[in-house]
Amino acid sequence: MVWAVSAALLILGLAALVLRRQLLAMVLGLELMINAANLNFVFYGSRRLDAAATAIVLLVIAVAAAEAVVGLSLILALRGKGSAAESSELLGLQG
Amino acid sequence: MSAIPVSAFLVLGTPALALALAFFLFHRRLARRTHWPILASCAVVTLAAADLALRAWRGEAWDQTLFTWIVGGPWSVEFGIRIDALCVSVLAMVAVVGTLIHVYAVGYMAHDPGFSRFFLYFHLFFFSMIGLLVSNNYLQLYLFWEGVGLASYLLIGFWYERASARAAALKAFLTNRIGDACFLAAVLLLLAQFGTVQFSELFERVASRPVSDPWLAWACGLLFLGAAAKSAQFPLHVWLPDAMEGPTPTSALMHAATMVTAGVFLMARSGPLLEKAPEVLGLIAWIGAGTALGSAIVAAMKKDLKRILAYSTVSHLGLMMMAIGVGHAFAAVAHLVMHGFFKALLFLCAGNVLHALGRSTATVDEVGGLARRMPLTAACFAVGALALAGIPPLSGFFSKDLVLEAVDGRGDRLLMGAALAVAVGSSLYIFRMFWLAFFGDRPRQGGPRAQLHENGAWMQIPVLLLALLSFGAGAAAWGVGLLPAELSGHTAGLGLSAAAAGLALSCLLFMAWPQWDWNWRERWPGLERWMDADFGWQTFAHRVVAAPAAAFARFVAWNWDRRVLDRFLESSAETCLGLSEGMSSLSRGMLNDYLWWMAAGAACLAGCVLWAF
Amino acid sequence: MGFLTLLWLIPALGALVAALAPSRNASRAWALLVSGAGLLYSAWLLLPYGRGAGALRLEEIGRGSWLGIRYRMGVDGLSLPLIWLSAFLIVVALLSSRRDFSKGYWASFLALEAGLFGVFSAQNLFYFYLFWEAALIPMFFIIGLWGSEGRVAAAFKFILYTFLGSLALLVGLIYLVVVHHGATGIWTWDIPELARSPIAGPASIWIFAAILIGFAVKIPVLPLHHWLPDAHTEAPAAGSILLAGAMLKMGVYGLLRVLIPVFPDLSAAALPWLGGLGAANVVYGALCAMAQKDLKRLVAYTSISHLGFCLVGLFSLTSEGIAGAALVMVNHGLSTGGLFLLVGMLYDRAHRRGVSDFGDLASGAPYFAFFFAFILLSSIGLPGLNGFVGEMMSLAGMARVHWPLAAAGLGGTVLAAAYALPAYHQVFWAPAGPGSVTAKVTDMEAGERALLWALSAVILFLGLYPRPLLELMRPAVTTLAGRL
Repeated sequence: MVWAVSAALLILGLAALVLRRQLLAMVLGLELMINAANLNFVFYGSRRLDAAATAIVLLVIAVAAAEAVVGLSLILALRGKGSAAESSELLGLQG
Repeated sequence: MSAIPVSAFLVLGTPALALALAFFLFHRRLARRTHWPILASCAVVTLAAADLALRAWRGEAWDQTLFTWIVGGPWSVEFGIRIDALCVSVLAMVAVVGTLIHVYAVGYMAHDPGFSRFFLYFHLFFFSMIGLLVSNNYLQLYLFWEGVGLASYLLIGFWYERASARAAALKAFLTNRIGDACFLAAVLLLLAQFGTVQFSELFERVASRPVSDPWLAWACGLLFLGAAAKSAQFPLHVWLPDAMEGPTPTSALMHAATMVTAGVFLMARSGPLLEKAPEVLGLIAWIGAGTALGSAIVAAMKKDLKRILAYSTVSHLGLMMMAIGVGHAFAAVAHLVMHGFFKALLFLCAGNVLHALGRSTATVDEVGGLARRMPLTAACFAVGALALAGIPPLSGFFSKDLVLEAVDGRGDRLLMGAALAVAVGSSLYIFRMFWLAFFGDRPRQGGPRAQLHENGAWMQIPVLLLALLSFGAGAAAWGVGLLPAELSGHTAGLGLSAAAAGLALSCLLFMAWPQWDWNWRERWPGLERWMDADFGWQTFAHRVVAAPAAAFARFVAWNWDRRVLDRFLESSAETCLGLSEGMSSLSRGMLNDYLWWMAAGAACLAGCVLWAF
Repeated sequence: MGFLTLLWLIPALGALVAALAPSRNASRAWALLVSGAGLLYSAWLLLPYGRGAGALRLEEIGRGSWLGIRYRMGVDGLSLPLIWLSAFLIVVALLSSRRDFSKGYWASFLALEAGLFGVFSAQNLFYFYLFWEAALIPMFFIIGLWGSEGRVAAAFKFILYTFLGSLALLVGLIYLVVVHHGATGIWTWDIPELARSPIAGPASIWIFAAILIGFAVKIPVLPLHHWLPDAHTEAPAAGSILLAGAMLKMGVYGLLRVLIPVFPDLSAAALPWLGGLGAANVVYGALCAMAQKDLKRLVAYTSISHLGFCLVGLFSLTSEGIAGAALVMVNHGLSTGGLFLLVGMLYDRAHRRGVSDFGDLASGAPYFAFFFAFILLSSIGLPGLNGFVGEMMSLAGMARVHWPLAAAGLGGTVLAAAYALPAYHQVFWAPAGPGSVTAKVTDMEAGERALLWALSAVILFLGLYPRPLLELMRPAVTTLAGRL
């Protein structure tokens, strides 16, 4: 059952990431996806008594925190410039 | 075989030297004196040719290789000199007639601004012809053959400011180029089959081949096509009448000595090959007969003085080809030589008239009754006309009789009938021209102008000498035994009656009832146009060959190469551009899109991994 | 340092110096000096061959190799005439250029010279390819920077076509080396080594095709020829001289040096097709030339026609055909180079190239009329001038193996007269029409005349006595033809 919950979390996160244009919502989606992975690691790590999984979880939390810091500060910087911080405004990366 | 005499080198070396001298020295600095080195070279060539002729008469012959020109794998082609009876008999005529025409040209071209240029071209023509005659292999002959073609092209287009001269020059060169390509094809074929094109070696190797060898037949046929272009035989004769655009001495040289004779000479030279290809010989005889007869008829209705003579040349070349075709090259060459004398004479007489009129062409309508003003020219023309018609004891009689005998010997009544018809026709058209131009000031003709007078000594003396040669060359050659001593009474009688018939007919039609020549043209203008275009052949050749070729070239170059092929290949760039624009529209810069593609890619990858394991 | 390294190194370093020279004039003088030295050097290389000696002269640096790549240069009777021709044409091109071109112009020509020398003397395919590409770049700049109005488009068209060709060539060469290694266990890029043990199997057909396409673009063979008219038309006169005179020869030389020796069996199998393509080139180029209205475009299409004779001769695979093709390369370089030179001189004076922009030049500019006629006649294969000998030998070779193709080639000689003479008539003979620029054309100056006299002398000499050149080529041609 746990894999189903984490899969649902992943898909929800992905949906938020792909469908929402608000950068804050997209960051939240990312967090959801990361934590979906974390959930799996925690559950299966404790079932198999694997310490490496727990270590990975800690690492991922650190990465997620760093990611949240970078993402949120970017959003704050954009807001500071008077932007709505939506992905439809940031079209600089086009081919 | 004794050592090659110095004269052989002189005939080839002197004109080359004179040309270089005239081109580098006189043409720039002494333009009015360009004829000095060139006339000197003519004199040397004539003397050297006479020396060679005497030696050849004593039975000497030489064939010597000078240096290797091209080496290619299994074969090599040399530069060499071959002097034998055939070469010398034509060479002597070319030297004498060519020299006389050179002298004549000094007077004729005296007031032309292109005097110097004319003599350079003229001597190049002469030089190429001599080189052609003394060549000892086909490829060297081809070199000079093209040289002759080039010089004739330059001379026909001499007055290049005229559109007609340019067109005529182009026509001449292109038609000859077709013939030359055939000639070269024959040379390549011989080279591929026999590994040599040197006459002596080639003829030895050919001798062992069976009669009717297909390769030999092809080679002979192609050689004949080459000769047909140069010697103005159907279907490649189209250029010759237009070649009248050049100054008259050019026409004289071209028709008598240097250009049209080359084809007959080539055929005579290729005798050992032709012997092995009887089918081709038959074809040559019939094409010769057809050309001779057709052009005799056309000559009898032409109005332009020089064109009448031009068609007469085509007709006589046809006779020579008939002689070649029945296997009597000797008769052809004899007629070639005699024809050279009287045709040069006739052209120079026409040149006298034109020069006195101060124009480059004139029709019979524009002259008439010239005999009163220019008696000497008229007398000389009469000699030429009698010789051409074949009246004994003038030169034409002997050679024409040889041709008739040769044709008669074949036993083909139709061919003999054609030859006799040509004899009647020759006599008819040449006397028509004589009557119309020199006698009878008819109401529809311009009549002699008061200011007309004979030309200076530069022009008169060569004409007189040629008249002498036309008168006596045949008898002299017969007398010293160069021509067969026995004349066949049968053919002589036939030939003589044909000439007399033609003469009588011309008297009747153009002296007694001259209106006739004007009336039929008015009644049937379509017929005149049709005959004027060589029974429609000129029109046909233009519409079916020349014009479609040009149109096809335009089509290939523009419609196909540029609009279709190049557009198509260049459109590949646009296709790339379109593809790239399509691709780039997938990435407008929306983060969500990128993430979507990333997720889709990751899903695909995961799918692959799951499917694989 | 070896004598062949010096050959390409001198112009390469010379180009560097020319680019860094203090002024345009200094750059020009330096370029003339270096190219003159190149001409003398290449002539000196020719000398020992006059005495009948002559197979390959090799030069190698280093014994070992990495994946078969090693520096190995060599010249023989087939490459030396082309080296001399390139050096000669560079000198002619530089002498005929206007003095006010920038330093880059003079440097580009020296760089081009280095590339051409390298291609014609490389014995290792890796270096062959390196020089091959190196020669393209200066030509790209010559067309794109110093050409006429449409130069940029033409330069890109040139570089796209030739780069795509080069790509095919590179893929083919690498694949060839890999397959050869698979078959023999030896890593080598050396042409003689590769020729010694020809590869077989289905892969060889693909390699053959790839290398063929690479060379065919350069020659150019139908239907890959469209870069040529544009590039020739838009390039400056000196660029056209070298493009037609020397660069097209790289393709034919590649066929001669690489394709036929390495794939003798496939070449023999492809004989009727490639010979037929050559004959098609001859006729097609001539037909297109017949309808051109621009003098430079006309001459460009005649190049396509003439290079067809090279293919016809080469793929007859007979010794006279191969020698003929090699001779056509030299002769075409001289006569077409001369024609571009003359058209360039006209363009410099009148800034027009259209056939009907001129008229009656023969009256006012007799030297132009004479030299144009002379070189045009050589180009259409008048015997006695140089063009004839090579064409005749090529056709003679083909006549021995495939008679109809030789006949088609002969048809091209008729068409040659049909494209050359009408244009000549219009430019030099016909009365000048309204709007013609005849009045601007002054006759040649002494220096220009000297250049053309030199060219005409070579043309006449090679027409009447091509033997020294043929003797020079003979050992290499015999070796090549003997292996077929």
